Amino acid sequence: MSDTVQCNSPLSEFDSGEAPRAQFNNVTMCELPFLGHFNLRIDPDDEAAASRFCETFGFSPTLQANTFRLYEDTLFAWLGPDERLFITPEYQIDESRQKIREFTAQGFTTYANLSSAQTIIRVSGERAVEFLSCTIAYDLHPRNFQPQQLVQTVLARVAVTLFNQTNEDERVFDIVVRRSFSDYLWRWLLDVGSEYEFRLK
Amino acid sequence: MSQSHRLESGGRINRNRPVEFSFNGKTYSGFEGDTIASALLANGVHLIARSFKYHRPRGIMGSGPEDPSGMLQIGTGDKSTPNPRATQSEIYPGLQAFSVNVFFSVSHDAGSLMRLFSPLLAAGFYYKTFMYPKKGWKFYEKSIRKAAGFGIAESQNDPDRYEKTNAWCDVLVAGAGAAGLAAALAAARLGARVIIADQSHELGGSLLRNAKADEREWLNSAVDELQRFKEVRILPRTAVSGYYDDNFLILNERITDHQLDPPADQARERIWRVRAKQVVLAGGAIERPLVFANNDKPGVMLASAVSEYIHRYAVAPGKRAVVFTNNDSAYQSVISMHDAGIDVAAVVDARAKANSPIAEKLESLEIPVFYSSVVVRAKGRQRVNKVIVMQLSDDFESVSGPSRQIECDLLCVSGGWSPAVHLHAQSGGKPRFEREKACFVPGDAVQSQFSAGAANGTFATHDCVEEGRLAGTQAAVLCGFQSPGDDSQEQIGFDGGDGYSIQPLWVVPSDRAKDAGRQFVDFQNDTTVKDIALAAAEGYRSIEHVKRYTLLGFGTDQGKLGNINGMAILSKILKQDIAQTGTTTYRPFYTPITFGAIAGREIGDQFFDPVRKTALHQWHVDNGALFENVGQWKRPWYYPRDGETMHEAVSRECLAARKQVAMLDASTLGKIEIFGPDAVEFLNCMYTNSWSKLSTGSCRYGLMLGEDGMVMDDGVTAKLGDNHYYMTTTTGGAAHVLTWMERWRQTEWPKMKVYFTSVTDQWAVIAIAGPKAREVVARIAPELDVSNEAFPFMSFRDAWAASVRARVFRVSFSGELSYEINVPANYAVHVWKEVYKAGQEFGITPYGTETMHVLRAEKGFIIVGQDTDGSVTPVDLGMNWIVSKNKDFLGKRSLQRVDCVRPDRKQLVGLLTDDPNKVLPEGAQLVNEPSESRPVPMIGHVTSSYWSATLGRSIALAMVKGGQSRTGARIYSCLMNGETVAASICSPVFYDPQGARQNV
Repeated sequence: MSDTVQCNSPLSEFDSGEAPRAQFNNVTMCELPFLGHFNLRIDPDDEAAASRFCETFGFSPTLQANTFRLYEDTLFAWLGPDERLFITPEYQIDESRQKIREFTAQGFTTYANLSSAQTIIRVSGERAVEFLSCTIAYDLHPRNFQPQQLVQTVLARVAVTLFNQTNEDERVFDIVVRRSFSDYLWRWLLDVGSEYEFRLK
Repeated sequence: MSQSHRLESGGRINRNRPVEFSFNGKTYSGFEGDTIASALLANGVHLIARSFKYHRPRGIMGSGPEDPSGMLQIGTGDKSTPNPRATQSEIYPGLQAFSVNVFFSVSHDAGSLMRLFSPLLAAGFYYKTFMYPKKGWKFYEKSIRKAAGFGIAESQNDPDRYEKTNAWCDVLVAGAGAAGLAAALAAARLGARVIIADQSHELGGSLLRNAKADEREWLNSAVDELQRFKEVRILPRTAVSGYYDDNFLILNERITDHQLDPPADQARERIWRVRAKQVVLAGGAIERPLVFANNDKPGVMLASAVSEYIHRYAVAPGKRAVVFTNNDSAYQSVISMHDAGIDVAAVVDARAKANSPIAEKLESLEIPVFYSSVVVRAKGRQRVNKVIVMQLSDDFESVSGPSRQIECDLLCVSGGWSPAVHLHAQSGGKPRFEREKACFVPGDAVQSQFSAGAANGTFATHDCVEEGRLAGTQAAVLCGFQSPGDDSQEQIGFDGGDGYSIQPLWVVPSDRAKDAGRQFVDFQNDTTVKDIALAAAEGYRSIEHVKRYTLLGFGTDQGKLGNINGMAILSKILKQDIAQTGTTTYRPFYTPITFGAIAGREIGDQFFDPVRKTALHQWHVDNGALFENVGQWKRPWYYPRDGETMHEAVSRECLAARKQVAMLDASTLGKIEIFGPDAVEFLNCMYTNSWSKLSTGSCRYGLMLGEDGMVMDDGVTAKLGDNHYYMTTTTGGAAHVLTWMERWRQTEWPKMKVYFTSVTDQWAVIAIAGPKAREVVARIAPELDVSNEAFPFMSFRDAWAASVRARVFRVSFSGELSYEINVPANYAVHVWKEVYKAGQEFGITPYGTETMHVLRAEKGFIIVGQDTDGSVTPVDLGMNWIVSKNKDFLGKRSLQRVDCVRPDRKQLVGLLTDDPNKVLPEGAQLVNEPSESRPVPMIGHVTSSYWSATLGRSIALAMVKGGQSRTGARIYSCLMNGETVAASICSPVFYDPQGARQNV
């Protein structure tokens, strides 16, 4: 049996040494592989659970619908009244899982590790909105979709959650997509990109 | 090459860029900025088409989307496109265009013999004539279709790329003429997000054809200013084509049709799916022709089109013109022609007097004006060469002699203006007839919409700008932008212009009765006044029926020229008001859209539908698997080795699983984590069997029914811990099952404390089946006690498999000793390869869905959706053992329905053919006695059928009426090829009926 364990991200087929990446003059897209994705279920009316959550994580589980917050390197997102999503950097996966597991050991709370189930395609650049508009039926204009908002929608016939990670320097959108659909979505976006004189790097 | 009809100066063409193109094989020269129509007219070519039915010679009548006849076949080979309009197609070097619907050539068209039969070919001719004999139609149809119709659709694959995009705006402006530009500008100034689209490659609309200097100046500065707004998107060459509910509109942008060799990746067309908060319709108006005999001859043109050719393209469409009008607007064209050096022989005005101040000037220009006169007919073979003018009675109902003959090669007609109400009508609005202007104008808006300018029946440029501004401002304010106040608008910079007066003349009376057959109303469909009269005489009253009987308003121009005249003529015949007749229904699209644009990217294997792949997909590809579509998934079907047929490969894979060991990628199974204090109660409600006593670490098979009691899904569910379960579903049913459960929890049982989370994509599943499976698992998970005692059938264990944290299930869909190793999908390739390596010693064989099907059929395991079809109960499947009598579950009540307990319901049975080598086709119908008199009653059908290598014979599963009590009975299948196959009914379990092999 081999000693090393091979780990493949959903889009590793497009990998050529580093993370899968494609570039066009004003749009870049790349996979953010190997992050920790944890789906958390928590009863919004359970005050005890909420305060236990605050103690464990140092922030409140309460969020405005369809928004997310960043706590250092951890992203914490609202997916539904009783559903949250943690996205953690690779180096924090074990620690986060441990905390989440401890928290969900009590009461009507549970979690599912989705780290292999989904991945992130990051689309950034000046023309990112125009690029994504080719296939998204949601208005990404800054007047309608602000940083730290998310939308659960359909992109190229695929259900995705789109996070607005735009910062002062750049338009950034993170597409969380299920593993089995990611190849299709990536190819679709590549094809859209080729119309924008896309070049695979 | 000289362009005989090109003016010395003027126009918006680029004279520094000559363009050579060919029409019907002959080379012509034009300039950049020309359309095919303007370039052909510049070369003195009028005759470019033959009509639909009578093959009459036809020329260029208009200058935009309204032109009815000038449809061409453009390009060659796989890029050949049928029916773009000459008036809207820009020329480029190397363009090749051809006339359509001609036999031999456009000037010597054999089809024109049809005109000899024209008296016979009135509306309804085909319906009436080709009814007998009944079977004859399929022969007639071929010839009729060949003789009629335009253009040829290319049969090769379209090499072009078509894109779609979504867009959002506060204000969408359709049309970039004076009103549209003013509206866009007003909205943009308030900060609104604006999209303005125009069919033409240049903004300006009618200002491009007859603007005065100050109007032109306004146009330039408006376009200039508009381009500077960041939130304004200007879309030239883009038609607003469809207007749907909720202010959702479809725009069609033609990107490369004006280029010979566009970059390979550049899309040819783009569909814009626009969601607008407010819409301003400013699509202008279309000039109407007048209806007189031979009004379709080449050389008869709309007065506004002549102006446009002169001013925009610097083309004089003729040398000597007659103008025939019933309104003031055509007088502007008289001046245009005069200034361009065209000899205007006469102006024929149906009215007793013109209101246009230009009329007074004409005397000094020595242009005669004949009032109360009409052109009763045009003459000339392939082009008009003279017109016959007669005196019109005061009531417009008759003409009287003497007739005057005027020679000319150009006849400009103007019957008034029809606002383009099409988009308004598409949006749900009802156009209303405005008597004073003799036209339909938009009625009340039913969506968030304004109409402005000529599209709203406002014709003077100054008024259009004012109305556009107002509409744009109001639209923006309704979107929440601050109103600018009354005095903020600067002066428009030009005056109100001349008024517009018209006296409607829907059909020109003639001194000859037979002229009615040559008075064309709809030019594209050869619909004449005679046809409409015939329809009315035959009892048609509704304009919608008359449209269908006479073809009035059909075709690619959707009757842009002919509709209103046709409606008015029908009203006159029926002696009713035009408002009472109403318009036909305008439907999308305003102008035709290619099929490519509609399809967009969603074509072919790659993008037509999402393709889902497992984490192991590439390994399967690398190892020669062929794939089967299961739902949206690609699953390995079988793995043929050198030269193997499917039969050979599947037999080999089956025998490996039965005798040694084989492995399957089972990752596509739906997987749902279920958690909560009410989880077990919920499962009890979902499944037919009881879950209360399942212990942690164990698994159980469950059957899920719809409310109708019919089998909906099945799968194995494991108990992970207290209140925590892991459900598997069929591959294709996963999403539906999750939705189904959420629906019940959220809408019916909201108090139940239970959560569901889909983890289908999280876990890759590697199934290992066969007598040697235990040894392989022992090697891959050395720390796991795999003995039957420690790890019995229908249980699972958490373990390290190939150094990866895994959940190993001991379940079986093959009837063999079998394990399913679940690992996080990121590690799937690693673990799969390690399993493959560990199994080499036993000849481990990867197998696909086909072998999986054979193995399970040998065991009589059903596949929901293959052996069931939504009309099958558990009892029909002989699965009474799984239906609890002691608890309630979804569908239970329905199982008691009289129909569900009929003894002669179709029931699942096995079939063994008399000839063991004969494999029945799936779906084959079954009968008791093939020699019975017809119709032979069908008593069932084959649901699954395979060659079983293990048993050395064919096996089949079938649904047969009352089958469970007919074991041993003979049954027959009559195949499509006439063959009758005999079989006998048996148990659906063909192999290892005791289930010993999976329990070892």
